[in-house]
Formats: sequence, structure tokens, C-alpha cells
Amino acid sequence: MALHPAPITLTPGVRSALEEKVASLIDSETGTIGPEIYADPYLHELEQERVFGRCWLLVAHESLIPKAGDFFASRMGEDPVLVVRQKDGSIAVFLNQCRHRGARLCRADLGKTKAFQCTYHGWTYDLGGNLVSISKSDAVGGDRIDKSEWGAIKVAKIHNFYGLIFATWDEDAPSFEDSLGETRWYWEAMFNRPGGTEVIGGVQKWEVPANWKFGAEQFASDIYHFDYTHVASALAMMPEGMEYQEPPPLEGRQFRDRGHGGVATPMVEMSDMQTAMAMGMEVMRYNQSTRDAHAKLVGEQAAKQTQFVHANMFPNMGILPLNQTLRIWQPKGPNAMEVWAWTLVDRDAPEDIKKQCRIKTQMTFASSGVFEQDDAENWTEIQRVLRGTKARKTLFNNMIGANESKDPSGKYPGRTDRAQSEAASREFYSWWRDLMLQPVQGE
Amino acid sequence: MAFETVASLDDIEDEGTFVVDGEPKIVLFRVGTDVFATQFFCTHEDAPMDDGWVGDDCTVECPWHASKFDLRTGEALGPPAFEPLQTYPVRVEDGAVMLDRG
Ligand code: FES
Ligand code: FES
Ligand SMILES: [Fe+2]
Repeated sequence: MALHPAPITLTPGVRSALEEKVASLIDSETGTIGPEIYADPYLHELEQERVFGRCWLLVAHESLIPKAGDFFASRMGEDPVLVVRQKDGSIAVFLNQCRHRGARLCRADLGKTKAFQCTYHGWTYDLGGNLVSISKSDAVGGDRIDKSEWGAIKVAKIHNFYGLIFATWDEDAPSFEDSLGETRWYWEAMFNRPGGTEVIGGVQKWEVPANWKFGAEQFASDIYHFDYTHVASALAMMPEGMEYQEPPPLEGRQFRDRGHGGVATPMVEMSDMQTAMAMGMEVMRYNQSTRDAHAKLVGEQAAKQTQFVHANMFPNMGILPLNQTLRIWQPKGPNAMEVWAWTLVDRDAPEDIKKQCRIKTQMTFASSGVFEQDDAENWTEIQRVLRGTKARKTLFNNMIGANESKDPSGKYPGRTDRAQSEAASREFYSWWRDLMLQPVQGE
Repeated sequence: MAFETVASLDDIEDEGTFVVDGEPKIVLFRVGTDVFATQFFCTHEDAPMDDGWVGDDCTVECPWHASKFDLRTGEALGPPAFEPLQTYPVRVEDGAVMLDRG
């Protein structure tokens, strides 16, 4: 098994040198990026501590673990965690690491269990991560060890947001809702679905040799690339006999706050056409049929006059609502990410609609998706160029868009800019910079 | 001692368990329409056997270290446990589960 490069342990002196570096690499005012943020192994470690060690992170969808004892082996940054349904129906999240010598408590990706027995010396933990048995206790004097002090390390807080399970290591983290800031309306609209949602078809995992921030940033703020990166795929997806026309300029607003970003468009008719092309007529009609019920939950504007195009919840949860792909950009060292992707559907949708969604998502955004491959190729390309020292010192331009703050039509809440902007990308990097400059507990 | 009614068959899911409190504490295991009873704690390291995995071959697997026991005899079928589980006589009559704690 190939191991990625040995991690670096940061010291206070190194941290403060890195802070200076971060401050000089991201210019939030002008919108420039020093690309060492994508490649430097020291910054990667600081990012693990201060971004992934502090933010609310998506760890699972509750539909993966419906019954007591069901578990999903997830990650919070580079740390492996177990997400486990308890006997009382609640969910526990804890570090997937034995307190004896640190082997994983559980090596399966998902399943059902009564307890987690470490494969090395057999220490055993209950569903909540509490140490319940030190093996051969009588013979090895295990009674002298207070088991209550040697349970698996638990996250500080857990939140269930319409079926999405989030966790944070930070005791002082704001509530999940507060962490959404001015973007809350948009996330509610996307995830508060009539009857709730579920993920189907298993999780797909694939590695892209590029930093995780390329995926996150693009989903937060970049529809700009579509007509260039994806033109060949878009042509290939055209129905027989239809001419490819220049797409009309995308109306709508790009929302941003606290590192989050995404686009909402009022061009519902056009979006429906795109849905018909990408997901099939039946799925488009099904979506239309749910709008009245959806409006009861989130209001007319969100349910009937808006389509959500793309979004990234800081730091690393991406969604394309139209293509129904939900994913996590898992960091894997500075030079690679592992994408974990699911097909997200309404729990109450008819089976044939769910099946359509699953198949169509595979064709567009998934390991086999044509659009997915276009994007991954660009990110890989950038990362490869960053092997060069000259290249790593060359600033990137992140200045597209007008930095507007208010929607002139008054329809979309919070700070927003035009749909084709990099305002949300600037927001992403400036939030990232702010977090990187603030120590977390336990450094 | 004699048989006393401790549960009704419907209280126990098939391949499920049911705890009978008291002295000694006992676990009932249901396999189809049969019910078996053993001591509560595993003979290896004291795992609660009501958390065990019940097999349709009349076995239970310990939740902690996966030793299997024969529910009919209590015999330990594989390590790390070697000592048998104490078993108790059970009768099912008209849907009532009757246990003799001895
Ligand atoms: S490493 Fe887990 S029991 Fe030793
Ligand atoms: S406690 Fe039952 S096998 Fe170890
Ligand atoms: Fe793309």
C-alpha cells in the first residue's frame, strides 16, 4: 500500500512563520492567490489543524445508517472517523483510532455491528466509542486501567441538517445554523425537501491528483468555466437533431458568506430544459410535481421561482442540485484529493425516478461522468504545473466579477453578486485565510 | 424450582434477544418458534450476551470478540471463550415463554 508523504508536526515557531506566509499569499482586497496554498506540505498541516480541525464538516447522510449498530467509516480532513447509529436512535461520531496503539477500530467502509473490536490486541469499544473491554484483562492487569479514560476521541458537536450529518472538533464552534451565516436561506431551500432526502447507489470514491480546494472553489463560484471546459461534453449530450446554440447569459445571483458560495437562478424554464437533457424528461416532470409541496416548506420564491445551479458549503461539501450529485472533497496530502460522491434523491420519489437519477448522475458527474472528467483534467493540470518553483511563485488572478453586495431585484437574500463572478471564490479564500490566521485549541 | 412465565413469544423478535432481570440475570434468545436461555455475561470478558448475534443454527456470537456458543448446550464453539455459557430450561406454551431458573 502506498503511503502518502509523512505528515509534518508543526511547532509554535513554524506556525507563526506560516501565518505570515498565509497573510502574504491571499490578498482578499484585490483577489490574488499565491498558489503555494495548493502545494505546500506545511500549509497543508496548518490547514488540517485550523480549517478541518475547526469547521463543521459533512460526515454522512443519515440514510446510510438507518438502524442501531449501522456505521459509516468517514473522514474529517485526514482523520478517519466512525459515524454510528446508537440504540436510542441518536448518532455518535468519534475518531477511528484505538487508544492502545492506534490501529483503526474498524477497517470496513460501512456495515452493522454490536461493538468495535480492534484487530491488533482486541481492545473493544461500544457503539458510542467507549472502551468496554481490555482483552485478557485478568492476565495482563487490565483492571489497573480506568477504561472510562481511554475511549475513542469524540467530536465536540454533531448536527443533523435535513438528513445531512455534520460534525466539528471545536467546542467553541458556532451552532451549525449560525455557521451558515447569510447563506442559510439557500441551503434550506436545497435540502429541506418534502419527505426528506436519501443517498442511493453507494458512495463512489476516486482520487484526483490535485488539491481539494480546486473542487471546493469551483463549486462555490465557477460557472464561468462551463462553456470552455465542458463544451465537448455538452455537445455530446445534445439530443439527436438539436443544434448547439450559445447559451443565454445566466441570470441569477451568486451568494456568499463565511466561505460558502453558490448560484441561484430565476431561469427556471431553462433549468427545466437542462434537467430534461441531463436527467431525462421523467425526472424533470417529477421535479415539477414536487414544487407545491416544496413551497410549503421553503416558500414560493425558493421552490418555484428558483433553480440552484452549484454550491459549496465551506470547506469541502459540494452539490450540483440539478445533477443531484452531493460530494465531499477529502484532502489527501496537499497534492491530491479523494472525491466521495453520492446521488441525492427525494426519499419519497418513485423507484423508477430514483433509478433514472442514479444512472444519469453516472453519465454526468461521477467517476464515469463526462463533465466530471473535464473538471478533474483541469485541476490535475494546474497541480502538475505547480511542481515548478517559478510556477508556485506566480500569482493567480481571482478578480472576475463586480463584488456587488445586494441583489437589485431584492429576491435573493444576503450578500450576492452576478451569477458569473468570482466573488464567492474571493469569499472562500478570504475566509480560509482568516481561519488559517487564528489558532485553534490544543495546537 | 419451577417454570415461571417471563415473557410472551411476541415480545421477542425472531433472532432477537430479551433480558430477564433478577438473580441470576438471564438472556432469552429466539430462533423461529424456539426459545433458549443463557447467563447474561459472556464467559470470556463479561460482554452482555443480549447484544450478541443470534444465528438460525441455534448459536449466538458474542458482541465483543465473536466467540460463538451453542444455545442448546452453552458450549463455546470457538475462541477466545472456552468456558460454556450456563443454560436454563425454557418451555413455550400458548405463546407464553416459561423459564426455570433452577
Ligand atoms: S492497537 Fe488496538 S488493541 Fe492494541
Ligand atoms: S467477551 Fe465474549 S468473546 Fe470476549
Ligand atoms: Fe465543471
